[in-house]
Amino acid sequence: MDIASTFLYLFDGFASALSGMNLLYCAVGVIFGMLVGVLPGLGPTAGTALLLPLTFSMSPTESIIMLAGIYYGAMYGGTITSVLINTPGETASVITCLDGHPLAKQGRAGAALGVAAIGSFIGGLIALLGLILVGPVLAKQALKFGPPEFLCLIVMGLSLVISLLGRSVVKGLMSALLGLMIAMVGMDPFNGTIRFSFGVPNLVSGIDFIAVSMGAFAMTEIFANLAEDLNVKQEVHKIQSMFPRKDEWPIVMKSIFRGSFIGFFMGLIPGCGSSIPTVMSYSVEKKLSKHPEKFGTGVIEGVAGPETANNAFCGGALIPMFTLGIPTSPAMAMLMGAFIMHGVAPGPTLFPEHPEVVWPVIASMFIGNILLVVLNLPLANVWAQITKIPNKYLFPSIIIVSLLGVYSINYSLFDVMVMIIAGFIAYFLKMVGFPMVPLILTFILGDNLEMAIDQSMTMFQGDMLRIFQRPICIVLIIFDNSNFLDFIYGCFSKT
Amino acid sequence: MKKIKLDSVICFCFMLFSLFYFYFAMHLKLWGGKYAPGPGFIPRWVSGMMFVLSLIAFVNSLKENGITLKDALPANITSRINLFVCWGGLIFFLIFVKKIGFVVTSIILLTALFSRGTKWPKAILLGTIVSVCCFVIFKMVLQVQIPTNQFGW
Repeated sequence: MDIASTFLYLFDGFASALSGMNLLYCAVGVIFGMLVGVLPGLGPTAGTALLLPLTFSMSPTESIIMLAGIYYGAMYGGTITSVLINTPGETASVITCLDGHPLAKQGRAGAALGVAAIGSFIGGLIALLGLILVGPVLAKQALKFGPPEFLCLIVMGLSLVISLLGRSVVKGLMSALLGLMIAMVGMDPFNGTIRFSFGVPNLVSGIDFIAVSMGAFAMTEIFANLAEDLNVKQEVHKIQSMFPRKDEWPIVMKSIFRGSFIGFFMGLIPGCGSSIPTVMSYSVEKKLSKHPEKFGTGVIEGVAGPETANNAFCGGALIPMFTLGIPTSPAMAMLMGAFIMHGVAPGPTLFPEHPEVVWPVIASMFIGNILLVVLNLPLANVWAQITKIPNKYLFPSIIIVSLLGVYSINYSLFDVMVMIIAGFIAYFLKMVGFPMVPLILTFILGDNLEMAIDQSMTMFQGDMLRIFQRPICIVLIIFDNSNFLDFIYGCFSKT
Repeated sequence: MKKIKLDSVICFCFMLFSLFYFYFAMHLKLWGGKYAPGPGFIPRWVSGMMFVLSLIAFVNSLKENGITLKDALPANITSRINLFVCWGGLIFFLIFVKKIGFVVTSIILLTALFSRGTKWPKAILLGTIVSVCCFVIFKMVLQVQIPTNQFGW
C-alpha cells in the first residue's frame, strides 16, 4: 500500500470516527477508562476486561473504538493516582510516583498532571504516525528479537536500575535482589516446577505485582503520615499552574520527544512490558540532566519522559497486534480478544480485509488523544484539589479503596494480605534507607529474565558466547556495559 | 534495647532470610535439562549474593549511627496509637470481611480510622458514607465480587 492510498484510507477513517455514534463511544471510552484507572489496582487490563461485556451489542468498529478509549483513558487514570496519592495502579505508573508525588507535595500536582497529559498526547500521536507510516516494516524487523536479544534488553533494564539505587549502593542492591527473590516464588516459567510455595495454593501462581507495589508505595505513605498527629493542621500548598514554568518548557519538550521514541520502539518488541520503556526513559532523562541528584525530589522531566514513553509504548504495541496478530501486553491481548469476538482477526490480512474497521479505530485514537488532553488540561487542577483534602479524611478513604482495588484483581484476600505485609515491611525498610523502586523493578523483570536465560541457553546449547554472533545483542551488550562501567566509575570517583 | 539499631536488626533478618531461601533453593534442581538451567539455578545465585550483601550491610550498620529500635515507632503517643489503630484495623478487616461482609467491616475500620482525626459521630457518619459509596461503585457499577454477608452486603 503506497503513502497516498494510506492517507486516503486514513481520511475515510476520520470521516467514520467523527460520525456521531463513533465519536460518542470514543468519548465514553476515554472518560470511563480514566475513571476506572483512577481506582487503585484497576489498570487498563482490568478496565478493558470489566467493560468488555458492555460492547457485545455494538458493531465491531464502535466496540473497538470504545475499548481502545478505555485502554488509553485508564493509562492516564493510573498517572493521576501515582501523582496525587503515590499509588501506582499498574507497572507503567511506578516510575511516575518518583517525581510526580514530590511535585504534588510542592503544590505542583497540576503541572505534573498537565505535563503527563501533553506528553501522552504527543507520544500517542508520534506512535500513531509511526503505526501508519512505518508500522508493517518495523513489525517484521521486531520479530528478529529472539530470546537472546530479549535477554540483553532485560539486562539493559536491570542495568538502568543502577541509577535508581539510592544513597546506599549495598542497600539498593539488596532491595533489587529482594525483588528477584519474590519474583522466584511460584511456578518456574520454563520448567513448571513449583518453588517456595510451602503448600500454600495462593503462592503457586506467584505473588501479585500490584499487591506488592501498592503495599510498598501507597501503604507506606499512609503509615508514615499516620505516624504523625492527624489533628495538627497540615501545610497546604497553593496549587500552581497546570503548565510547567517557562524555563522548564525546553527541557520538558526534549524529554517528551525522547520518551516518544523510546516508548514507540519498545512497543514493537513482543513481550516487552510497559515498565521497561518507562524505566529506560527515566534513566535517560536522569543521565542527560544537568542536575541528576535532584531526580526523586520532584523534577518535571522525571514525569514528562516516562509518561510520554508509556503512551507511545501503547501506540507502538498496536503495530505487532495489527500487522502480525501478536499482542505484546495483557491489555493488548484484551483488545485483540475484542477484535476476534467481533469476527475481525488481527494479523497480516487485517489492513486489506477490514479497512472499514481498522482505519476508523486508528483515526479514533488520534481523536481520543485529543480528547484526553482537552479533558485533562482543565481537569488537572480539579484532580489536584485532592491534595488539599486533610490527611485525616484522605488516608482512611485511600486505605479502603486500595483494599478493594487489590482484592478486585484476582478476587483474593490473599493479595490483600500481601499488600498489608508488604506495606508493613516496606515502612521499616524505608525508615533505614532501603529504596523501593529497585525492588519493584526487579520483581517485574524477574520472571522475564529467568525465561530469557533458560530459552537462550537452550537455544545456544549452553554456549552463551554465541550471543556475540547476533548484531542486535552486541549493540545492547555495549549499552549494558556502558551503564555498568559508568556505575563503577561513579563509585570510584565518589571515594 | 536502646542501643540495638533498627538497621542492624533488618540486615540480620535479611541474612536469615537469604539462608532460609538458599536452603530451599538447594532442594531444587540446578540444571533442568542438558543445557538449560533448572528451577534452583537463579534462586541459589540470588540468595547467595543477598547473604554476602546483607553481611556487608550488617557490618556497616554496626559502625554507623542510625535509628534505634526504640525510635522505630513514633515518640508521640497519639501518633503511635494512630499507627496501631491502622495496623489493627487492617488485620481486623482481613479476618472478618468474609464472615460479616464488606460493608460492616469497612464501616468499623473506617470509623476507627476517621475517629483518630475527628469526633466519633462524624467518624461513624463518614465511615458509613465512604463504605456505602465504595460498595456501590465496586459491587454494583463495576460488578466486582466483593465479600458480602448473608444479607448481600
